[in-house]
Amino acid sequence: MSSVPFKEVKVAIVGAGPAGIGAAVGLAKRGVAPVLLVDRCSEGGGLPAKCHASRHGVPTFAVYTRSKVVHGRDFATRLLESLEGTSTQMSLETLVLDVDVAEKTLTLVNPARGKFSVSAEAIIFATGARESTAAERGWIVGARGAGIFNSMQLLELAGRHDALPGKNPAIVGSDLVAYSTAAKLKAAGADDVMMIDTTASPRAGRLVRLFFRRWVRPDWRGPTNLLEIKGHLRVEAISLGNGNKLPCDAVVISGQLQPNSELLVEAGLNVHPRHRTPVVGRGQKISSPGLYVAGNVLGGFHGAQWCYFSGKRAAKHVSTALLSG
Amino acid sequence: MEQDRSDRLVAKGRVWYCRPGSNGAEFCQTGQKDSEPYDVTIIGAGVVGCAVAYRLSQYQVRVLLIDRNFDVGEGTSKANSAIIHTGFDATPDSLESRLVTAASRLWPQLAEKLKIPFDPISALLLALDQKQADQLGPLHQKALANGVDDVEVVDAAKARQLEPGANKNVRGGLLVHRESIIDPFTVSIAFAEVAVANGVDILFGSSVIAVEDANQTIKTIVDDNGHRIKARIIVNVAGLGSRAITQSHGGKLFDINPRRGQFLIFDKSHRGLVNRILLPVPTATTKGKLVTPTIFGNVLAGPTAEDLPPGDDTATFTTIEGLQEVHAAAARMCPTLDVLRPIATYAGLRCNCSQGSYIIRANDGHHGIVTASGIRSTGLTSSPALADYLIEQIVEHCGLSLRRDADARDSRPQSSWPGWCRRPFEDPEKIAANQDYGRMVCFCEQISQGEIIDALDSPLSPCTLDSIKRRTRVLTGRCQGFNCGVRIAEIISQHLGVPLDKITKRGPGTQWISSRLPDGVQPNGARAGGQP
Repeated sequence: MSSVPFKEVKVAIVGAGPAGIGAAVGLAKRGVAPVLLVDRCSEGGGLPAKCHASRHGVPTFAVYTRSKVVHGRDFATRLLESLEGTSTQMSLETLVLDVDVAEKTLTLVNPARGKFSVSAEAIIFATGARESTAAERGWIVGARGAGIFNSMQLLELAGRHDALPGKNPAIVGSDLVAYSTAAKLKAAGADDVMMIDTTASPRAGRLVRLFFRRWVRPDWRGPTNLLEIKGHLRVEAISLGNGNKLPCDAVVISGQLQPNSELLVEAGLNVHPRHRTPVVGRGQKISSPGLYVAGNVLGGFHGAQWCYFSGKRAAKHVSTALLSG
Repeated sequence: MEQDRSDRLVAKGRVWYCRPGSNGAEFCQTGQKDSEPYDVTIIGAGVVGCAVAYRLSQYQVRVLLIDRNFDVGEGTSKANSAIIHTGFDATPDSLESRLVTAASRLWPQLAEKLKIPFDPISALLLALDQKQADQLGPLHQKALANGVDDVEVVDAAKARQLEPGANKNVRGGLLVHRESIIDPFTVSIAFAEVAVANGVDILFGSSVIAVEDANQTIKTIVDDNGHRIKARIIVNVAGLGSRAITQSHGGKLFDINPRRGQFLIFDKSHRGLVNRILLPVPTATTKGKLVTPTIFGNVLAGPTAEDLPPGDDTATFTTIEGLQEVHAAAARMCPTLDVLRPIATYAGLRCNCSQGSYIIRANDGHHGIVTASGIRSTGLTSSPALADYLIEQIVEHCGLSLRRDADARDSRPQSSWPGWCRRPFEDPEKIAANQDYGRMVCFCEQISQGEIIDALDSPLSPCTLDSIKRRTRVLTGRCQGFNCGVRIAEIISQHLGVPLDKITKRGPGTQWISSRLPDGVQPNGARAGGQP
């Protein structure tokens, strides 16, 4: 990896998670250079990099490669290693402020250079996804005291500070992310973990539930179409649509990923207003020429490996397009 | 850098934050021991209390501002529609109408002086059927009676042209120039910062439980920390808590029925939907729910008007019925909002008095006690004029003589503009001097570590997550802290030297994390065989 700052590159990749790294690896393999890979966090690797395997070994983020389980952080390390030896320039702590679609120019900011811009012949958006906020879900209301978290905060609190948000947490959401969050909380010392969602049964499939049984059997309290958070200063209880009031000391809003498509919206590109997924054409192209998307920004909920290959596919399309002129 | 520092506000007054168990020792030792009683003690650091402190700080008087919360503007003042009204639809000749109309003309200059983000984007009252359209004439007359003469009735075509995102069935509208949007948090903060720079003292975390010796010249305010504060004149602007204070000293009682307002916030990427404040035609019972851009670039819809039983001053929670009601009303005005999901919701309580609005009593029960209550949703707008009015009352009826303080400042320096509106990363010199201005922490609102540290070092030395949120805009964006929540707590913890589990959301009882793992547990990164 080189580190000379430049203003013009062949391809700029936004987001150094599995999809962004996949794209960079794919481009390097095809000899496309120079490539700039930017990420707003202080380390590359995306979401898996934030997933330390906790004590008691809860695999918060597991990937199966060649029939072996790889934990999130190790997977991220491997991804980053695969970039070494390529000419990809990685710029961390670098936030994209603005995209000029016509000029294919990114306006960026980072500590070393302040505000600067980089133009490219093609841009790949591998911006990933975040969890929906309580308000976005539309069925979570009530007080706004202390003790309301999301899974990312929980991962960071547990990973970096060995801190536990609550002894009796309630998890809102029931997909894979919610289950691994529940397992992490339980392993970190929580007594009971409740799980609530709008669906008749947990969203996570039977295999996922079986897998996490070793650590946690969440107390399933769904389905409900309403969850009220009680407690003016701190979370004291939650109250469900059926009138049940359940004491708890933290609420973790989990899962239900939303694509990070805001850059595309602000650039005036075609994005579905409600689901916030970009409208994607053949070859992972979006509505403006030279712009591509890869990974979880496409919507849905995919594992790190899927994202990596999605990035690689985007790289293939980009290099074909660049070669054909 | 040198010049920049001299450009900062320096606190001349002292600011104390009482924590449980401190038992008032710190305040009694450094604050009032062996010193003269305060000339004026203001109870309640909401927007009105801060405005009174700001105006009084221009004179040579010793002033103390007390609040039970851990920041200014933590009660009613933080949850409103963030609008500076012209008062065009107030009841003509009421005190409220006079103060709102007077204040609305003060605001453009005042906002500039105090470095409060402010934008006079105007308002459009939308008539969506013929019955409502018939009311536009009378509303215009009412505006004129209130002295708001720059109001015009517009026809349907013009209304559609002004607001392409509004309901296409619009029958006409009333365009109110000078209706403005403002950063509501910075209002209280700016007033208080100038006041402290001029020598006003502030005591946070102090809940007044009694006023003793109320009939004496020097009265004693007793708080829940055991402080006994000596004061000559007491100004009770405690909002929802004002009744309890009036009761404790035997003033003439009034009833507070908090009126809850719930709001929805939509993402910044939808800012283009509305150009100005969209108001419905008011009915006999309510002003209705508006849709407006915020100064921060979001779209805001609300509020509801729910009357709660007296004394219910912690009911700032949202309800599903309330939020759905707001969403439906917002979608009527601006149909695109129907399919959008809000990124955040909030609720606030207006200080609604059964005896009427703007109850102001000088020498309430005893000489030297001034009460102002029933300051409803118009308080944000009227605050500077109301402060002047209250000070007039104090001078006239309580025998306070005021002499100008030649050294007092009445403005904030350029460096006080909130970071989100001046974008320090745009300035290469700032980045060169301090890379923290380019180290982005909040990705949604594009806020850097440098701005968070500036906020922590600002004159009121705020220490809670919410106070940093209101000063910098971190945690308010579309991810609501998904990316930055822990980082911000870490920065506060490091900068103030406070352990992470002592960081609170808004003071004691709101510790962010409830427990840490037992000692002796290995940090997770140190797992054996972690690296291949």
